[in-house]
Amino acid sequence: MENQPINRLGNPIESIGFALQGLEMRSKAIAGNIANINTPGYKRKVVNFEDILQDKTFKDVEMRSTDSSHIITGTNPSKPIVISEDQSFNVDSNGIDIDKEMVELSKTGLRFKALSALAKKQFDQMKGIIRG
Amino acid sequence: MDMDILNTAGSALISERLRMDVIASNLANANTTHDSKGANNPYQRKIVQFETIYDQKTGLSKGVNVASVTEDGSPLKRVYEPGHPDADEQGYVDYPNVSVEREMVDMVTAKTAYEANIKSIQVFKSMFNSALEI
Repeated sequence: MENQPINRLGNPIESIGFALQGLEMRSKAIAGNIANINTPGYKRKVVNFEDILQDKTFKDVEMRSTDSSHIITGTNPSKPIVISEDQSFNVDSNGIDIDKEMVELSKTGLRFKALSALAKKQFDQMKGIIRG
Repeated sequence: MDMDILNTAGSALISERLRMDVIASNLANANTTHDSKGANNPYQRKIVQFETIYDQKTGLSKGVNVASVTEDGSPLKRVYEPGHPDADEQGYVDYPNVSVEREMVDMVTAKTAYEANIKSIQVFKSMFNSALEI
């Protein structure tokens, strides 16, 4: 049981919301990547949020920074991070592989659908409890 | 979710469409030796250059824009045709520097990119719909 992830955020909706936000950001990155297949010198953009979500979920106590002078604990910011990949496959130093992007696009779309269905379920459950 | 994401794919559709237009113009004028004023001035191949638009806030690309449509500076094709009205003293005619093979390859590239962006719009639309159902 020790290795089981424990949700410390209190409300699963909050985790789902963060993941949906991350997936939205990722889909934006994919949209930009696909739009720039033929732009010379364009570098692939990747969005990472799973690590942050993992950190948030596993952390025992999370210290909040409510003022700009507060020292932020941990290494991860509370929003998805954007990484620009430097590698390029093509002669025009464009870093986009269309097959990879299409796979990522489908993956992100399906994950988003699954998570929004989950969010709907959570709300339905709550509704049921309220109605009794 | 905001709708900007559709503009990103939309900008690519517009840009690729323009590239397609330029390719069509290159192919249509592969044998044009006169300009619109009637002077002997062979058509020059046109090249479309794309540039990315960055969103300063997120560091992601907001889409693609046509930076410029420039003329290909490569030499014209000289063909020996003494009977041609545009032939010079040596009997050579200057034909446009358009290579049909290269234009066809560019056309396939533009078409593939266009279709990829259509596909991404479809996926984003279904994402919007599922978000609305929460």
